Amino acid sequence: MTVQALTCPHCGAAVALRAAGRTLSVVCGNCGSTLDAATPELRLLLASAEAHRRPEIALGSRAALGGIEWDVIGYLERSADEESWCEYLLFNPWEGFRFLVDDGRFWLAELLDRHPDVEGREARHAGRSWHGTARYVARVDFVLGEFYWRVAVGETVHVAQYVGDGAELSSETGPLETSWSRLDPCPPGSVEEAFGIPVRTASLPPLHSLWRTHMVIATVAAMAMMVISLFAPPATRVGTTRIDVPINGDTVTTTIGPLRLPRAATGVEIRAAASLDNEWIELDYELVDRRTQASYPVDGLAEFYTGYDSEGRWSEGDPRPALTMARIPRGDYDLVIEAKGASWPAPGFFDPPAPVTRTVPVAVDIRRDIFFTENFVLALIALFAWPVVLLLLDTQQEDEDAW
Amino acid sequence: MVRRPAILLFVLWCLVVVVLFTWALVNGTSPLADGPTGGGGSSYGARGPRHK
Repeated sequence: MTVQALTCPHCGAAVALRAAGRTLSVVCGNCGSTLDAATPELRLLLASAEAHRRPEIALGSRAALGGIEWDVIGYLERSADEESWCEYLLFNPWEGFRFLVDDGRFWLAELLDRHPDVEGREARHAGRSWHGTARYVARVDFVLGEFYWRVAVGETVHVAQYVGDGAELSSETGPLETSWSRLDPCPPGSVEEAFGIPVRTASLPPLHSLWRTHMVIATVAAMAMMVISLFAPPATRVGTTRIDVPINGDTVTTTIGPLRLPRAATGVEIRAAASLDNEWIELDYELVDRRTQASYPVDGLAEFYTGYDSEGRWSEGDPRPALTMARIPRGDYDLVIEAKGASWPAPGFFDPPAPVTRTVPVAVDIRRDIFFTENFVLALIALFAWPVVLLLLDTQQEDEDAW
Repeated sequence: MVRRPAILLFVLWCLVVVVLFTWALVNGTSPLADGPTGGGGSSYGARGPRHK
């Protein structure tokens, strides 16, 4: 490659032309003025005094990508909405121009000689169909070096993106023409190695897989929660008892203890189990701290009903209710249990009390350090709600004709 | 040509969720526990089957 050294007519700094005869504009690396590369004296097209940023890959760098040596001759930064990316213009005297797009990962973009056939959101290219995923207006925010068109800050183009098999098609429509390019992702680390820049630790996928990105992040967070859960102490039984509850009889009271809760705060589960037949047992529990006499009440109900109707046999009710108590402080506790049984149907207000029919044994188990599964479920909902919304929007967007 | 998705907020949100989950795990608490500091429901109410 022959490099021509010329002088910027605006600031007098040296300007290197790396693809003379193939480019139309060059932006002075010192003052940012846009110069006419097609004229020998570099006529001033647009004066600028903007302070310059330095691209990560320096202009004039040379590296082989895909077995072809490329010179970096131009650099521009673009944005759409609140997102931005940068593009390097690469040049090879025999291969022409390519764009190296950096949007968190690197893409090598080649201009297409033949425009794909577009029908609705589908584009036909290279014998296959590409699906439209996004349309937006992209603006040039910063520019440096040589270009084969007269690029300037503020230039806007309408972009339509299509995706297919990991690659992308992009059409850019400006005031004068529409150009198509195909973007192929560069192998991770290959560009960094070729140009000797720091390796990217994470690669961001393109817009069309926005929901996938969120899904991956949510999955990583969910896996982190699972790993954290592995370190939780296992649930441990701290007490068990059996009480005989007369159906339609008086309230039975019993106390079990001490129940030792060694952690600063812990979840406690009290599970009762009874064999019931059209009966219910009201269970009032009260955990009482032996030292402070602080009490923590919770009430439950064991019940089971069955019968027949026009659709056959029915049954309902939970004869094995499990009650959970949250954040019980450290201490030695007594559990006071009050149980009262009754049969269904209950007698009316003016009817005589129902006779005691039988006595039902109720087994009560108390466990500490229980794992609240609902916390995990709630966290999963919080993590995956937004990715699912994005997925639904993406699906809905596909159905819209006016994309 | 290609837009970079703005995902930082979502990453922060996921961190908040994981931290809250861990806090609840360490403190043995849940907003849906039946008592005494959970927000679960009471068993008081009508007795008998709801079947009609």
